Amino acid sequence: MNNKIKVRSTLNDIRNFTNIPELRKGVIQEAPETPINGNFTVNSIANFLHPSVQYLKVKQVAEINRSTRAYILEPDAAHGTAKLAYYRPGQWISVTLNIGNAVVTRPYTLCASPLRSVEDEYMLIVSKKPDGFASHYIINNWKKGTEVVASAPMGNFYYQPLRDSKNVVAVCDNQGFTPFLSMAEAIADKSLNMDLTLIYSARKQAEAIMSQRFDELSENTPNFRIIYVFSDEHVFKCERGFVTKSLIEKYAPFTKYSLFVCGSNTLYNRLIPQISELKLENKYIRFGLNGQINTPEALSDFPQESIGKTFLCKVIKDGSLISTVPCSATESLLVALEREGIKAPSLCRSGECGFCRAKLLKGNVFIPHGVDNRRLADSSHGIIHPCCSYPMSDMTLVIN
Amino acid sequence: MSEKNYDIIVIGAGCGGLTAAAFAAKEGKKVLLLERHNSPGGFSSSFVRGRFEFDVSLHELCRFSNEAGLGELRILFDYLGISNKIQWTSIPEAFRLISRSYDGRKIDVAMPFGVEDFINAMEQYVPDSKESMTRLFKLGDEIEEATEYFAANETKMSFTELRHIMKKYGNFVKTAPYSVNEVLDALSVPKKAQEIFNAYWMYLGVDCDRLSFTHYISMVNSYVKLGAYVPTLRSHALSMALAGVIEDNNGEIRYNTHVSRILFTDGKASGVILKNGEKITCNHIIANCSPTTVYSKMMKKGDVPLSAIKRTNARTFGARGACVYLGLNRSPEELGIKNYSYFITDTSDTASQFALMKSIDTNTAQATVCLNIANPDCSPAGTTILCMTTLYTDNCWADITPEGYFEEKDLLAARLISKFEDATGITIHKYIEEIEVATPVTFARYTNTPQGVIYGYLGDDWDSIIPRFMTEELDCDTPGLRFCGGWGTQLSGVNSAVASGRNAAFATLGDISEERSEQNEQ
Ligand SMILES: Cc1cc2nc3c(=O)[nH]c(=O)nc-3n(C[C@H](O)[C@H](O)[C@H](O)COP(=O)(O)OP(=O)(O)OC[C@H]3O[C@@H](n4cnc5c(N)ncnc54)[C@H](O)[C@@H]3O)c2cc1C
Ligand code: FES
Repeated sequence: MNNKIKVRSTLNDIRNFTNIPELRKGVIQEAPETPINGNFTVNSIANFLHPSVQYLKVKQVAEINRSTRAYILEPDAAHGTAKLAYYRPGQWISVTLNIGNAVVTRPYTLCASPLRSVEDEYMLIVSKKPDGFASHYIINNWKKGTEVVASAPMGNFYYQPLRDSKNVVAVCDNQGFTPFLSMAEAIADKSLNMDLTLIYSARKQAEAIMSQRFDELSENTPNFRIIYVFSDEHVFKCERGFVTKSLIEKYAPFTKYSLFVCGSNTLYNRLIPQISELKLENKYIRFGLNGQINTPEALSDFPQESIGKTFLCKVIKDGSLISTVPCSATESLLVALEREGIKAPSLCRSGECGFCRAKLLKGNVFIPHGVDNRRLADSSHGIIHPCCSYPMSDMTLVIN
Repeated sequence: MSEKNYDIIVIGAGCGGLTAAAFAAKEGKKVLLLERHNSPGGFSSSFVRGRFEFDVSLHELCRFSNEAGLGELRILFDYLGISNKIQWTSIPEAFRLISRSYDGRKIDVAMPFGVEDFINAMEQYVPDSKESMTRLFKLGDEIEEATEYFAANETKMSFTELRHIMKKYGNFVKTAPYSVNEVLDALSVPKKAQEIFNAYWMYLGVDCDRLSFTHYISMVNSYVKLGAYVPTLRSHALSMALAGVIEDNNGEIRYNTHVSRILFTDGKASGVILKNGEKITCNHIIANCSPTTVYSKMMKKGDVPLSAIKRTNARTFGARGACVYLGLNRSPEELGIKNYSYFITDTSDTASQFALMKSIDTNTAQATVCLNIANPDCSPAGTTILCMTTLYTDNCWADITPEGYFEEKDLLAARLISKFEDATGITIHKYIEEIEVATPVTFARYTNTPQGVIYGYLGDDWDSIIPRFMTEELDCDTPGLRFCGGWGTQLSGVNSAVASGRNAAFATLGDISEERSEQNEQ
């Protein structure tokens, strides 16, 4: 043992030790009997920015073209949403839809400037997808007054000033223009400080959705400009062909720039080889999410022998078996659950957010390379993201 | 009784709740663990951005060792059978401290693990510190023995017992009432050595003028003696392993499940009501959430004992946290990062630093960790993971407007990054491939912790670990309800949360058998 230590005097030290309980009792005894303050101001901001659910109502519908509508949504105070959550341009909300027997979600980008959310307005632009499901339902059913249940704004595809170059060159097609519309609107009203050059690729001028609005913004906003590239027709002042390395370089600034890409898989597949030739560092290239993969069998690593097969998935929730669901090898497990009317959690449907997280107790799934964003410990504990997992055998799944 | 009656419901699956549920399930109790998030762990979690997986909170675990049976945490994990189910990474050195001394000079020291090496390094930086530092670590060992004794024996503080304690653990008794700085002064530790020795204070969030010496020396002694560890696959691996123990022992876990009320029958906790209205009954509840939340929001006014109201009103919240998670597109070697753990502060006077942390603008202090130094394979070749944590000692994040929030986040990140660059001379801002910023608002969102607090109640002098232990019965004034985790008796951090979870489980098991014997008597 150390030689005897004392802090004040041995006697005092011992007295102070034996007095410790009295000290604490004393402080508590002195405390007021007023009700405990449960008003947590920081949590109020958190709830405001990230509400667990947002109840919205369609305020206005505008027809953009035959298969595209713009929806203005407002908060539905009667259901408990007094204010809309603020967001970063490029973020999206996930809407929940009851379609027949099915309960499905779909993510849609918030297309307006975030400043408009302060004025109680969100804008979504929904295009009917050929062979689609939810998009058709929305376009056929949403009208003024329709109630919409949505998530808080989500997503990481936004301009981050500490990471990205202030000069951003973006490439989109008519399936991916929405984040850039929000960015351009925000640049115009000065709520976003960046320089954006958007290269919008389409077959024909008439297919470039929202081009009128983009043109207006481009004309009136010094930090935003738009360039169209049409593959199937010549248009004055527009490029002809596809987006290539040299086209990007033509419009890119001489200084460092970030490249943002958002659009269809066709766009990605065509662009990726071109981008690799640009020799940009990884950090300067960012892709928007492209949603669930509907034809996994087209991927080179898909186990071909499973095509056409159907399996059975036992679904366990809250400790009990709630259903046995047929599922096809070429459809995500999430879709199989939704078809059966099971309320399975999901948000991004792209493998990224982890919200659909479920435990595979038995069985095998195929997870396409590149969408497997599971945490390391999740992968090693049999956790999967059903939105990007495809059944390869009968299985047992625990959902939340 | 209905099928849904549980022996114990645990509210919250943070480290404390997971451990409590794991112990209770292992003892054969019917346990239900309810968690509002979609995965276990609370702060003990991770997330993916691009090519990187970031640990939300964990810097390093103490009281753990490579060797079975060595260190409190290791023993606990051995008992639960998870020590070998988790892959561990050992941390190579204690810390690098960059700060300013009381005489205005820059402090820049790198301290190793190992008592002898630590003392020798200190002697190099602060000549003539060796003798007092040696005494200090010896005192640390004595205190460790004493705390083991107290943990194992119920003490009544009778005169005879006190005499025994004084004889065996006299130095523990005589230092326990005091703060870190009071004892270091008494031991004549040179001021400059104190400044270095106090570097770990940010892990506890109380300045060394108030921080319990006993608590601090136990932590530092364990770090320096046993070294430190992290789960290789991030702290999420630990959470998943703990959840596995619960499931393997027939305990149930429900995620995405928000408890909104605690029910009482005849003055005793008897169940919970979920946000969706569902009611689940039980005989005992262990809450991993804050007592302030429970008493103010989850209980009927009449069910809250007056003593609980006064106790809660007497306490102050501990530090609120903020983190900047960086995925850099250069290797640590290319960047020049050599250390695992950097404590970077404006002043080594912890009370002044504590005051600077009251406001967003004046706070650049940070505990920054480079995971690659311990685990080179934690990110792809040619990249680096760097995580910066800072503390706020007030509710300054409540003054932000929602429209200004994202900009404020970026400003916070810029401030911490440039402080790191200034302090170390290492350029990082050019190499940011991924960045995520968590503020007190973020932590409030993910864990529902009041005001974004990450350290539970402030371990103020009167409310530090020793007073809490010596008056433990005071905090058990709500029958059928016990607390664990960062808001429990042992203050915050994974080590404390896990230990408090075990204690809450055993205390509740004790309650259950007491009730049973009462029933038998009747
Ligand atoms: C981050 C993000 C942002 C987006 N932003 C926008 C945007 O701003 N604007 C926009 O228009 N789109 C946007 N999308 C795409 C959008 O989310 C939808 O994918 C798109 O509208 C197509 O949906 P769909 O249901 O029509 O077609 P899909 O989802 O592509 O295809 C139909 C799917 O429904 C399933 N299905 C068929 N029948 C049933 C049934 N009976 N029950 C259950 N499931 C069934 C099918 O198996 C198939 O999986 C975005 C996507 C992401 C990922
Ligand atoms: S819904 Fe986002 S990962 Fe599956």
